[in-house]
Amino acid sequence: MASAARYLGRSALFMARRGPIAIPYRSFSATTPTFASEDPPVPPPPREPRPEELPPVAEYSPDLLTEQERSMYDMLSPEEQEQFNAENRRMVEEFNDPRKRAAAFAEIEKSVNDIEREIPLRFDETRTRKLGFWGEEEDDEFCHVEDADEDFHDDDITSMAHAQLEVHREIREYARIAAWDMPLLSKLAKPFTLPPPTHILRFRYTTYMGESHPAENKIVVELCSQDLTPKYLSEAQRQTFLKLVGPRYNPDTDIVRMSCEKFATRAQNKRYLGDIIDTLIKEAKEGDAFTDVPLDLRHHKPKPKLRFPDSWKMTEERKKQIEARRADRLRQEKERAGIVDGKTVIADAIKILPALNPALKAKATEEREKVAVRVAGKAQKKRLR
Amino acid sequence: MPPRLNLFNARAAVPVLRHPSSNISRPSIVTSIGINRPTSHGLHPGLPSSTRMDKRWNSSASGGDGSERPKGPTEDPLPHVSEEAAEIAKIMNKKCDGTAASPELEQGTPVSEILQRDKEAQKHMPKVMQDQIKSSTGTRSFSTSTRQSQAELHDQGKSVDEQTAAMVANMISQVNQQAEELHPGLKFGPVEPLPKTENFRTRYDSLLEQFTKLLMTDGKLSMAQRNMAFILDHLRTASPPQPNPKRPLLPGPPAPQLPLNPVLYLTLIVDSVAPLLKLRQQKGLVGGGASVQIPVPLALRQRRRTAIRWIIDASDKRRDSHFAQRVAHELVAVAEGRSGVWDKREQQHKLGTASRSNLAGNRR
Amino acid sequence: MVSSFCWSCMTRLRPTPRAVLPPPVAAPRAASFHTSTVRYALPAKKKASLDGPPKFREAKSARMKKKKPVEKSRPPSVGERKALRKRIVLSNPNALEVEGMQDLSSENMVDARLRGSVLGLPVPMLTQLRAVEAFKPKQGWSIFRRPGTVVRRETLELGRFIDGISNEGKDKGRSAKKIVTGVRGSGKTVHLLQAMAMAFTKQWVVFTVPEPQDLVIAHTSYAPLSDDTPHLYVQNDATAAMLSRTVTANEQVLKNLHISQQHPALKSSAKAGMTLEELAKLGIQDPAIAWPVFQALWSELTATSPAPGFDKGFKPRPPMLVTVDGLSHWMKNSEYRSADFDPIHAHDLMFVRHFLSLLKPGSEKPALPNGGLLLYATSASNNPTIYSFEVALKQIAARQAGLNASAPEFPQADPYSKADKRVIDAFDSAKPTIAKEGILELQTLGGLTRDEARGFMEYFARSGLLREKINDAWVGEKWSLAGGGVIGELEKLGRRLRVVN
Repeated sequence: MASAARYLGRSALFMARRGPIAIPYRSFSATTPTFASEDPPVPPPPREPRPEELPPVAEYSPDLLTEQERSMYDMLSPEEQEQFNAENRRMVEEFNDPRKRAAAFAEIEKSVNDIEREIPLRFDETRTRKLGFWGEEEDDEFCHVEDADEDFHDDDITSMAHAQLEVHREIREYARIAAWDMPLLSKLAKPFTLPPPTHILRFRYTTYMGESHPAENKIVVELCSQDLTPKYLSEAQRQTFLKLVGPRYNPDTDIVRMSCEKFATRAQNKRYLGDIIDTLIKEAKEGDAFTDVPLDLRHHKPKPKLRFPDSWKMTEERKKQIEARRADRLRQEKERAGIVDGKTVIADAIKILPALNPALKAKATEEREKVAVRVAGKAQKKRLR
Repeated sequence: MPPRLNLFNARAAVPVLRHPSSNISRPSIVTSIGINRPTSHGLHPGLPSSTRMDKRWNSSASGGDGSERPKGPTEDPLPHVSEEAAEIAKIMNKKCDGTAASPELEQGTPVSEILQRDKEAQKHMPKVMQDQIKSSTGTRSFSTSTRQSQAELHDQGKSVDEQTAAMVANMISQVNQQAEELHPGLKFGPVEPLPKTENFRTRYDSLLEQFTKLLMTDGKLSMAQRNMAFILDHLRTASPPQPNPKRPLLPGPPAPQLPLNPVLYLTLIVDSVAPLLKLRQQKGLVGGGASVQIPVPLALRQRRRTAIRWIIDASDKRRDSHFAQRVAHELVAVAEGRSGVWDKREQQHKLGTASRSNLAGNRR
Repeated sequence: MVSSFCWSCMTRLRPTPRAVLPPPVAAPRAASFHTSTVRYALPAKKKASLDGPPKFREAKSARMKKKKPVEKSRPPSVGERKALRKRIVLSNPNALEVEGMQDLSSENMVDARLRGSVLGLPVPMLTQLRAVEAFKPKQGWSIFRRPGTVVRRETLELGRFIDGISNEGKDKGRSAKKIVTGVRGSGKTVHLLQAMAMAFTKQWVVFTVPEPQDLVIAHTSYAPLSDDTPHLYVQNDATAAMLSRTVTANEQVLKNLHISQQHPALKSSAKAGMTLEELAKLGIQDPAIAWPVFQALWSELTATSPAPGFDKGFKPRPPMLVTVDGLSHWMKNSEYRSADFDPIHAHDLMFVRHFLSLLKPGSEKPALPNGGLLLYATSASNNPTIYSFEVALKQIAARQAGLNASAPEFPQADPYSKADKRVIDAFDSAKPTIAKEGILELQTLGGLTRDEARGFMEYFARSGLLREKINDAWVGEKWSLAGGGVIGELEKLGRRLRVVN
């Protein structure tokens, strides 16, 4: 090791003694460098007009009001209008008087200065600390406590208890509403009446209980296609209408349903849907009838509803019927001559059939043998003779 | 304590009465264990006894000799039925003078005990019992056949001993009547439980179910059930077996009647070749790390399982193209004594007998 | 930024004098642990290979051990398994003989008192029924002593109808066309069997197609009918098989009938004075002319009067029964391909076309002019789902109920479902113009009534197969379990032996 270090060191020494190596510099471009021209001087910002330089305001009259203000103005009662006019006139007058105007502006200036002095604005930037890759120095967001006052004087409940208390307050508030205000709602209740036959469209609005939601402006319209006949469409035209609406038609319930959330407001969407229906009806009346195209219901998969047959419903009459039938059956059963019992059938067969009963078979063979023996005996006798 | 005799237990003697022929083969039951000790043999319900009766029977059995030995942890510590009945009667009748309601309930009468010590009474004792004592030598006192469904087995031979059955039924009804009188609190008789096969989970016969499950491969139960149906149909339609007298099936209906009840047929076949024991290889009984064989008795289900496995294994050597057909033919071969399963069983039993001596080592 | 340390500068570096560079390392300079000189291991000698010179052209990878061939027993011989599958056993010698079971005869087939009882099939007729393949292997004939069928309401109606056609009377020469449907196991095939048995008792001629599927799965030979009609195909082997079925089953009838028409298609082979049996056997012997022979036979059997020159010994032709079991296989493209390898529709097969054309009413004479019955059954177990066929069946039912085809309630195929027009047209038969010809009907078989079910279960018990007491409660339970008396389910329940203990 030592020797290796030594000889490296020697070569380094040699290199050092040679002195610096001169390296000629050569630029890549041949043209002389030019510099960008200086930015034009920034013109000083226009000075704010002094209060006395402002143009005078025109004499007040209600006609000068904007449209919105005008509508507000029209809603006021005559006395209030009078009061409003007087006030406005006075303000205009004060503005047009240069002395008063200067005083007013001075006063505004002064109050602004006061505020600035009281709450000085600091524009020192808080330096964002660089976090490491693991972000170990990062403040834990969940450690942030609502009230960061360090000195606790033992005279209050904890913040969590405060939160709990807040919950109770909220509950009580709603309880109060339910107890006192909600009964009053019944005064506003109207009895339900069926929608008149002219109202064949049903619009559905959606509210998300005070929360904002992207689908808030969506409107859905439903209509029963049978309602359109015969007032708006003939039967043939209704078929055309159904062909036009396509998969928006549900043949089970005979309802056409469409929705729109194209536009920002509900009213616009509703208007759009209404227009669409108008157009459809118009098209169904006047346009191509599409008689050569059959109504396409492929989009709809009818849901099989399994039900017990109606004849199974248990009514008094049916009960009686069943009882009578049962009694009848019982009677017939009693009258019946022979009830077949599989066990007795087999037992009887065993008693009779020699194929099933070895005892019977043995007896039969025995008898046969007896006969045979007798015959044989006779034969022997004969032979003896 | 000697076993007692009461009227409930008196039925235990009935099979003895009914089976003079079978006494010759298994004669020592009564003498060796006691007259009123019910045995597997005694569970012979050729009579129209209900399940309820069987239960009583069993309870009396546990009381009969249960008192002789120390009771196991799972055994019922309740007293004997008659004692219990007597106690209940005592409570019901509110007789505090110590006399029981009926004398025979107070305590079972130890007839066998009386007979043992009384020579005079022995002379006058029933002929059957005398026969029992005379022929009480030689043969074994236990059955080597698997018999659970004896009810159905002996259904056939009903007419043979109808008279005795009627007599016994009469006795039973009397006892029942007495028992009913003893229990005035019951308005209706106890509900008879449904037969086991009435439950939809156990709708098939237990052997049939076991056989089907053993036929099953890869968890395909419905396939196995189809095979089982084929086998049963084959047993139903094939010509009745020609039994081999050297290898008879268990006693049952005569062979020509077997196809009419394929389930019984199958049960008889399987139970006839079911081995009694298996051989366990046990190490460390003798020195040197050598293992010895020890015969271990098998329970009913285990015995059947072994037999079914043997039958299915033997069927693999057959040449029929269908599995179910192979098994069916093998079953018929077993019924006719042609199958190798019989040899297997004999071999197993021979080995078991030979290795009985190893059991002594086991006890150390 | 380009490095100022450029390549030319590097090259201008003078080479370092040799003296300053370290000498090439020959041996480690550092003191080694050993004082002895370094010695290297001898170069490894090549291993002397054990078996001769190196091998070329051989796999050098590790050799996998070959599996020992498993000892297999001889595979079952050809056709053995199929024979076992198709085996039909009609008798169980172990079952008990049912006392007092009557045989089906021409007298009792109209006897309403026998409803609910089981009528045995006459033993001599069994060969005929086997010939026309009336029995199917999965039916439970094999557990009874001898085959028998239940007399149900539909059977009695059928019996009355067949009796009416055969006997002299106003119904003589009538014909009816029925399509038999029903749920699985409802006895459609057995209904056809009963019809065949009755037809045999009445000396009818019976044509059957027991397995329509066999004609369309490309298992039998096929050929274009003629050069004029290249899109129509005949199946000669299948036709010959049908002729042989017909001849075996109807030998007695066909023997007594003689040729009465001109058969130019057969040229010289059909001679005058030939019996129809001999005529049919021509087709069996030479399947190449099976189709013309079949047509000739058909024209002979549907003849009402002899052609001029054949007047001698003309006998009126008997009524005919035509059955097809499992119709829906004929309602789609077959597995056959045309020369252009396009699928051939089943209706382009002449065999199928002939039997389907019988459903249409005849123009000047009925499809079956001598009277008879067309019974075409659907199958519920081996059954392709064909939408257009379902619609066609609905249309038949509607037409039967008297609905006009132009009525709005008349069931029509969904226009977007690509329904097969040919199928719907095949069943679109107008009301027949000829009085004796019946309209195409749809007959739906349901369950048995409770009384019929009771008779059926009693048959089981009396055969010694069922160890139960056949009382009303028990039958009611099984009747409900069998889906309201579906006979196939009842049979399953009946053959399941239950051992109660």
